[in-house]
Amino acid sequence: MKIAFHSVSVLAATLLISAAARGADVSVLNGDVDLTISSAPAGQQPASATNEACQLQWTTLVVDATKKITVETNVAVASFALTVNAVNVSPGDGTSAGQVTLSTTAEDLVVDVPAGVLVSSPGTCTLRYRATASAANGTGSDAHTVTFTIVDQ
Amino acid sequence: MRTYAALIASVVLIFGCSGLATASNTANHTVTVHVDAINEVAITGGDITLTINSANAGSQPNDATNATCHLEWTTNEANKKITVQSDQAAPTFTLKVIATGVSGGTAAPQVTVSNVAQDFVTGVATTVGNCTLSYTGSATAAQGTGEDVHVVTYTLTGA
Repeated sequence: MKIAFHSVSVLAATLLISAAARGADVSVLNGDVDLTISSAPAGQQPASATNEACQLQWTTLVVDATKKITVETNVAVASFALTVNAVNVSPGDGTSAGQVTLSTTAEDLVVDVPAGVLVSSPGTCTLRYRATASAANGTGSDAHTVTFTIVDQ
Repeated sequence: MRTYAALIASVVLIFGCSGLATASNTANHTVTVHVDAINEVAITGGDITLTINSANAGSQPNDATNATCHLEWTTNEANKKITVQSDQAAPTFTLKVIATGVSGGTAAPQVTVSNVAQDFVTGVATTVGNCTLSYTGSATAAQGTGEDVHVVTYTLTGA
């Protein structure tokens, strides 16, 4: 009797701690992205490259404050411009903050993320990346580690 | 008994805590931007005709000129130039061309167009540029009448 009561008590306490410590969650789906700029009309700047293959997914707890998702890169001085926009945000799960020019400063990407965005129906959006270069930028490549963070708004 | 109870509690605690590892408030992926070499040149204004049909008495026929066409270019590489050449190996009459109103390079001196590529615009590097194609057709009385049809080719190439 004594052993059984002690075990149930500890198991329940552990689950509660796990849920509280879990917090809001964000993840990137469909891996890495490659954008290639390779053409230009004569007499004009190179054509930009776009990619919408990846999605962002997030959840929040029912006890959470309103959240936001920020985005930043690890590249301090990029050779070419890179922007990202959260498009097709799932209804009721947040609002796109519009196009963001990536920098090493965290910028708002999705705002007004409510509490209670559950695992069973996570918030989602498509990540629309756009890379641009001018003729003066020359050739080469930038490799960005793009980080998304869900935090209190 | 106490030891047994403590062991069970420890095992349960370990399994319970494993759920903490999977959640994260950050996520990242790699986004790579590649820019390849781009070299483009184009003519605007279509084909042209230069007609020599007058002369002052006692003087050679008057030249015919045309400046209705333009050349445009884009390169994201350094050390480039634009050359000009004709497909005519032995034209009857003289055709010259010079780049005027140049942006994104430096005009070379006026060229007598031949089937050998000659410098037309130099100092082209990581730029978008354009110029007017200023043609001059000339003939002497001794050359008689007739016509030459040139296919004039402009090439963006390494300097």
